[in-house]
Amino acid sequence: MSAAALALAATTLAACGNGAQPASEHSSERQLVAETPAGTKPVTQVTWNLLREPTTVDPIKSQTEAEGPVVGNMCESLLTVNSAFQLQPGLAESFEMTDPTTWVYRIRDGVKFWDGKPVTTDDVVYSLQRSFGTTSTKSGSFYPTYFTRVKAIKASGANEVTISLTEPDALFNRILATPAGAVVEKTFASREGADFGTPTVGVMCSGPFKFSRWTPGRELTLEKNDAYWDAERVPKVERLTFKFIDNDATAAAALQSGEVDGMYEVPVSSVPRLKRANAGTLRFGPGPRFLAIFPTEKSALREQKLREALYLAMDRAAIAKQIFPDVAEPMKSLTPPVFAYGEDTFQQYLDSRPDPNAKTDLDKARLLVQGIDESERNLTLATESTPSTVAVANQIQSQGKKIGLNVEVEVLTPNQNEALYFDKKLRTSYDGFLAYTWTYNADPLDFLVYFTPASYYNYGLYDNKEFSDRFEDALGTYDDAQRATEVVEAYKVVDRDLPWIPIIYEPNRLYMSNQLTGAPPSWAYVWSAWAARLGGK
Amino acid sequence: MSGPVGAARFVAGRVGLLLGTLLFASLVIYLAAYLVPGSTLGALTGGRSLSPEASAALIEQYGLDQSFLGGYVNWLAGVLTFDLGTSVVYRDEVASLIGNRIGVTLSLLALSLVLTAIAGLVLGMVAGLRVGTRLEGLITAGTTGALAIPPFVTAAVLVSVFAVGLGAFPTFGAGSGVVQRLWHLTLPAGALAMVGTAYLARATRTAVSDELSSRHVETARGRGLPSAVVVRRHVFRNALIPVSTAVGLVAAYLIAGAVVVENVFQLDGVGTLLVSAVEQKDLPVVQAATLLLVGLIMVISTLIDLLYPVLDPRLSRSKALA
Repeated sequence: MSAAALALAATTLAACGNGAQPASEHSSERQLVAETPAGTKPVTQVTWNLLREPTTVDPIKSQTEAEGPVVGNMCESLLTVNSAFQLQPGLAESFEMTDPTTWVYRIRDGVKFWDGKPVTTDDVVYSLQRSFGTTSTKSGSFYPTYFTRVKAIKASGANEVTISLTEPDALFNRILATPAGAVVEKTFASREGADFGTPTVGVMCSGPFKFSRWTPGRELTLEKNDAYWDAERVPKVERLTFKFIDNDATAAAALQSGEVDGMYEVPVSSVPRLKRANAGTLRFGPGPRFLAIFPTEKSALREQKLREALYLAMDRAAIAKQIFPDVAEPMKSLTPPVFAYGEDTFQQYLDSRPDPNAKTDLDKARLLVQGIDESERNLTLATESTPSTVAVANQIQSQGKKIGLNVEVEVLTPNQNEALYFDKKLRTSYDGFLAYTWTYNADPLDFLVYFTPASYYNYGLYDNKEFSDRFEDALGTYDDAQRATEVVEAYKVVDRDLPWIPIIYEPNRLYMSNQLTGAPPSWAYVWSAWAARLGGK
Repeated sequence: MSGPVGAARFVAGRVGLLLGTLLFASLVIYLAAYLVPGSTLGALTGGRSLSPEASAALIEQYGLDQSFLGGYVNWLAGVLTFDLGTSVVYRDEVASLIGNRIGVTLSLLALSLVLTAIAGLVLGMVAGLRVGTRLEGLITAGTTGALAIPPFVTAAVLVSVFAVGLGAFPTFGAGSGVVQRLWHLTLPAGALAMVGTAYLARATRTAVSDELSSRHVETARGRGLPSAVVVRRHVFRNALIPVSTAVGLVAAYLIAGAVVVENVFQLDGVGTLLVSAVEQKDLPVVQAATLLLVGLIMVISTLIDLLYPVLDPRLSRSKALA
């Protein structure tokens, strides 16, 4: 028997032996769960996988799912967000608005950094200036563009910091509840300078886990902070080690064999295997990550009729069911499906939108296409080489053909795909590209920032006064219920104009060993101390 | 020519060839990186817009405004003093990034080479000495099949059966400490060694069976020398030349294959560093790592060239240099 035949036999044996569970385990109606019960037993070591290695652990440069989950456990912001996306006190034990452009934060007493030094208003002001204030361009922070309405940051009392704005800003506190608002030790950070956040230096913060050791390419370890100020939230886990397995199959194998205890956003291709795994459980939580077509500065997709035609012709329900089984849902609006307030208002609006499961309206789409000049009916769509997004692009191409649109698909390497975001010359060789996007926090208003003329990501140069007016109105409205209504009005405009064409959204995925509990499946994990409640059952 | 002077000249000639080829390779590598489309500055800033001063500082630090030749000379000068530049992604020195990872890659290569050499030579010798038998037929068929299976397929099967299925080996990582390292590298080295073994076995089989049918072996047999002596002194010793060539080729293949296998098993070696550097457009790292791997292959080639006259004194200096 040749080696090849032997290998084939061995694989079949292995697949059979690996704990297949009865088909009744799979339900088509997926339950979304925001939390798991907190762990009660201490655990010495937990190994967790990240999508890829962080490039730094400096909070002001932590904007992705690689850095956030690490930094969120170490550094604390003035405010925080719970698994239901509600704003909560953090290092600020209370916060209030003294007038629509002034916010006052009372800093908690007795909080210490890991080296024992107390957290003072000096540290708070230093950190915020470094993040989005006067020293933020020098520090290389990624956050200044989110805080364009900040006028001044100053210590206004022994335990008090006041931030004044140029205009009311309803998003301000939400973004403060991310690493943008993290407090780091002033003496440590100014001494380390550009080395702050690098593998050899780490950071100096006050969170429930402290930075222990980072071996680049291999692992990053955090240790529990026994002296954490909130005695009830001292971690049960002694050591939390992050690995950086970015190969889909390897990550899935490591999870199945138990060498890795858990992972967020497990690869789509591994979902069927992990659903059947014995040693752990795959859970889905509320999450706003979705796939859309981004138009570029090139002319074809800047024509609204073309975008609407594509939207009508796309069979989003089929895409969700066939290309992302068990993983994604079709979108029926640009409104992200996660809202921290105004639930009834937003849900009512979503319910009023056309059902994506209904038959696609190809006639209407064809009519729209006929209204476009013949020479403008060609477009090139770029996509990353991930099999699922390529399949989506191909579906769009074939639906396009049915309505008289000539869609060409260009497949790019992950590297080239990244370059689309900042290389205009590369980007404008295509009319549009498929991209995953996500709201920065669970306020649908935040997502609308992308469609304002000033937004870096507004490649299609969408500029509609009706939208901008409604957006500005909502931004200045602090009252949640009122703002929800105004935000819906803004979404009515973008759902008509479709500056981006939404396709599917993916609830957040969490795989966790059955010996552990406490990590939240909710996407709110990404900026928070999600491992503080992790422990044994 | 013979004697110590001739030997020295021969070695010098070979080393000169090695250095010349490396120089040429370095030019090609630098040129390839230079021609990569897309903006390194964009990759450095991650798409955020920076102030003009910040952009200028980055351009200066990474030498993004140099001419091709100027940049190449600077880079080469750096390489010769072990200053391989700064990584665009990690903001750390490339030399230290590679230095931290080279141990894993070399362990993997050493283990794979040992496995390949042992399995390949043994299978090849057995097959070569027993041409026409069922055993030989089995080995030949097996190696033909194995040659067709790429390392990542072998890796996937090995992981599925031995790591996930039986739980006998780890699914990823390189381990630290001699015992842990060996245990962690068993499956990766096995995956890598599969094709090399097949190739070496076939080359050895051919070399051995050719020698067996040669005149001097017939003569030795005819004179009544015991089989073991014939095989050892006359067959193997002479088969060593084609076998060494095969080992050289296999080593090159192993080095290239190590990049894939390292990625599958998440070993933090130079291979994974190279792959992620390519993905993130970390050009200084790509250039240095590629040059290193090319250099490694060239050094092994040269060492084998230097081995020929030792194995076969009939090869005169001038013939060896041809």
